[in-house]
Amino acid sequence: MARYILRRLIAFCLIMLTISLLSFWLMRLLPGDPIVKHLGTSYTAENAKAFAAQVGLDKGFFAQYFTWLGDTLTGNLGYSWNVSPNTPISEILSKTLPPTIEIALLSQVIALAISVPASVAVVRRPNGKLDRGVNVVMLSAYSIPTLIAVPVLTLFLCVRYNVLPGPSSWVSFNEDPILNLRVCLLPAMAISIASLAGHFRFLRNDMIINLQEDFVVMARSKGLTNRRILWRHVLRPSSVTLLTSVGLTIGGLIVGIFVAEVYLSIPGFSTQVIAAVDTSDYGLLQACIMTIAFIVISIQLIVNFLLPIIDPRIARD
Amino acid sequence: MTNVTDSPTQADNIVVVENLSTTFSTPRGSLTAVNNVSLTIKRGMSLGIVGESGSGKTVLSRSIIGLLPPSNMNQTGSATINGNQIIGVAHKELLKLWGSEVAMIFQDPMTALTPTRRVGDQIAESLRINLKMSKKDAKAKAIDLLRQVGIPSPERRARAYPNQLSGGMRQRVMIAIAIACGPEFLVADEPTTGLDVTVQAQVLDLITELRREANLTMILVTHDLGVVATRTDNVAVMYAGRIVEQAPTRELFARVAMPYTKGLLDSTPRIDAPSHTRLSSIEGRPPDLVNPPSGCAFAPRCSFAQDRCRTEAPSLVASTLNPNHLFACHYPLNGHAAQQ
Amino acid sequence: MPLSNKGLEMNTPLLSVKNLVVTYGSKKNAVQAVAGVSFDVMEGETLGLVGESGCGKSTTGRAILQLERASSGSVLFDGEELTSLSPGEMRTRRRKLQMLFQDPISSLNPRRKIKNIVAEPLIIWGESDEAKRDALVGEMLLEVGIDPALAGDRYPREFSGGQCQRISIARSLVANPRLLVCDEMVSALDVSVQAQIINLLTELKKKYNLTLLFIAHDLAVVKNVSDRVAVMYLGRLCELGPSDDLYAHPLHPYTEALLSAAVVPDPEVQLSHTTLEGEPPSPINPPSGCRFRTRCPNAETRCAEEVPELREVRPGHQVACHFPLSTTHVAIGESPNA
Repeated sequence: MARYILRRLIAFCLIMLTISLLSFWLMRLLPGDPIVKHLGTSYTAENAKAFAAQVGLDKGFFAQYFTWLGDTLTGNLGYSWNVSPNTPISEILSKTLPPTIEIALLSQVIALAISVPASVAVVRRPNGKLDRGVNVVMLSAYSIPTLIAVPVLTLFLCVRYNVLPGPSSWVSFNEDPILNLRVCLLPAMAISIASLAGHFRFLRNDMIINLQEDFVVMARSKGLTNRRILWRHVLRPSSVTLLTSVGLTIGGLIVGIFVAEVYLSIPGFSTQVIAAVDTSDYGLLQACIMTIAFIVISIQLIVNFLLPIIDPRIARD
Repeated sequence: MTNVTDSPTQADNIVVVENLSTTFSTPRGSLTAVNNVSLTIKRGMSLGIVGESGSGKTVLSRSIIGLLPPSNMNQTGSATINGNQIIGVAHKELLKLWGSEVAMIFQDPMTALTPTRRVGDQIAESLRINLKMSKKDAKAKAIDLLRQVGIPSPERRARAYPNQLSGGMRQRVMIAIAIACGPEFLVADEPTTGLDVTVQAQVLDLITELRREANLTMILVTHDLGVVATRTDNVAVMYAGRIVEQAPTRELFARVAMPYTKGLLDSTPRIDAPSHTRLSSIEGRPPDLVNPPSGCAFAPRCSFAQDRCRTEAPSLVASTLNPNHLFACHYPLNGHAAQQ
Repeated sequence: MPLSNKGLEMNTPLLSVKNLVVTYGSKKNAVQAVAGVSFDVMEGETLGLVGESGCGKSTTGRAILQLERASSGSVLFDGEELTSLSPGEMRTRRRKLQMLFQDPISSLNPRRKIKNIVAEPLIIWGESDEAKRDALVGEMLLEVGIDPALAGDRYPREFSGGQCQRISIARSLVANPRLLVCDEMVSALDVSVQAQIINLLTELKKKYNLTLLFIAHDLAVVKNVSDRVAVMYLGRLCELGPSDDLYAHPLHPYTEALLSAAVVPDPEVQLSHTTLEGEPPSPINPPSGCRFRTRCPNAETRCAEEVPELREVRPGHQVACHFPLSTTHVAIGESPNA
């Protein structure tokens, strides 16, 4: 077990290093010069030279990289240049990450809360009326872009029925946890729509396959109700693909969340990422990329760790 | 229950099957897997159902206890266990029987045990649902049952998942689940196929011992005539969805009436026969049950078949030699003849 | 066919396996699936290799065909050492050694027509004349009881398990091999079909003068087809002898236990019922000395300390046991010969 964790941690560090080097290089291929963007109207050749020297842009690529690596490993993420000039990047991250993570997690909770019971309900009669109906609904939902889902939900839930707070009502969790959750609910719902169909399909198909297994007949012969067989015997061995799918989905939510954050004026992380790309804010962008990488790889680690716990037939390496 | 005196021999019929047919609708047409089967089993006795793959032996055994999924399936006739009708009754009625009065053992314990639940929980679940035991009592009883089926250090093994046990131990766990709630009737479907011979012997011994202790009635479904010979009181041989011969085990092996049964016996290699003994084989293949042949289903492969066999299906009749020896054949072997 | 094994003694071994060891896994948790196995298969004989699951019998078969790398030991086929051949060299020898598997349906390529499946070995061995190939394929399909005109253009899924096994036999025989390694080739078949395939194999063996290594777990099947039988337990051979002698007078306690656990389709036959306790131990950590000692009713200190070597106790009958069973022991199937 200790060896397993150690091996995984070493792999984790190597992947992070590779990503950092690649992103450091790719970022510098982006169109737009950070110095020009930083100085704006006060641009002169001297100012530019001074700023470059100040932030180290005058040095070679590897010198810049290793300076950044050393600083980052010692906990110094530096300052933002262009998005919010002279604000420490660590401060930006600690402020903007929580709402985004909250929305992402909440969206998956909603997606699972709908797709799991829906799968359990339809597999009683595969290809029956309910199954086909739910499939159509899920597929239709899947084809609604977040760009449309967010305003439509806002129109219904905030404007017409007024059950959720509208745009620009953002408060942090510490200030008002209830209101905070209610604000996050709408973007989370909008984003969950995209994940729903996938989760539902994976779980439904795996459950239908497992329902053919002998252990289902065995469970029936023990006198268990169909309901108990589905929830207690079939659901868990059928969730392996689902869990993998949840893990992969979370990493891909960032674009959808950006749409929601912009539309609802939520000061979130994805807004910072897009702004950093726009303004060639190298330091902030690098920190954002590393944060995303860290989250995505960590989730994969957790998923890989959980799979053998969910299904003991899966061996740990 | 019919009014049978409770004699110590307990000669009442616990299982009564009458004209049972099970038909599946398939894309090619309707497939009659069990065709007009009638049989009875006396309390405490064991009936072996033998046949080759596709003979309908598994479908028959599951039909008798109502365990077939209802979709794409049609059943006619009647089957009762302890007087409870099985065919055509609501799922709720069957739930009362399953686990508590009727239990089943499957061929492959690796696929028949839920892979994601600890074996102790799988035993305890049955106790909690059917006997309404408390969580704690059920857990203790589960460990007792594991000990009873011969699993060493049962406390530890109860926490294992099925894939962490050996094949023989998994089969013992399945037997523990089956006997957990003290059923009266057990259906064992190929319980030792796939196990090694030494483990097979252990498992068969265990089943025999448990049956004796609880006076358990059993159907033993198998393709192995050797298993049937030593472990059952009566044998029914199935071919193409029908019972073609049925008799007390010793009687059957001593005086085979059906050419098909004889063919099966003669094609089985025996360890007590000299090496290189030529096996007589049954040529051809079993019939397509979607388009069964007219007359006797075995006639196309039977070396004794005559014109009558190809037109007129023989019905299951008692022999003049032994009224308990039934066969479905126009030209039976070994001096058998149909009682008028 | 005479039931005695006389006449085999004058033959030379076609296949000679010596101290074969096959190891799985990395150094630290290495498992010896085959732990030093030696036997000869004489030209024209059938040697049965029997044992329970995990005893290493299939691995032995695969290692003989070099489908599995032997860690040490030698496999001499027709005087040539196979373990030292390069994969390319081995490919050219494969024509003479063919293998038949348990699951014939999945061992045939589902996307190829039957005639092409059977012709494949001929193409590999460079038979470029198509008419000649077709003729050979047709001849061989007829030989195994499949009508080439009806079956040639069809696909494996359209055939039953027994028919697919016939097609597999045709495919392996078309290259005119000398040794067939049959790994549980009739285990998945119904008895009536199993008998057909066993009879077919016996006929073809005689006709084409084949040598067979017949690997199976079914004691009765192995006895029926084999001239001699080798019994394997946990990677080692326990006993090797002429079929009838070995089944009638087992010398190794494990062989005796196996035989007494077997069933006979006759309620009147009472087998001596000495049930073996437990299941074989894990090959990861095998018992010291004799590997069977943990389950052996006769085990003594010497069995834990000293590995018993295979030695000849009766003519042609070898056993690896410090305390072989009395040779006067009478077991089942014994015809009282004076």
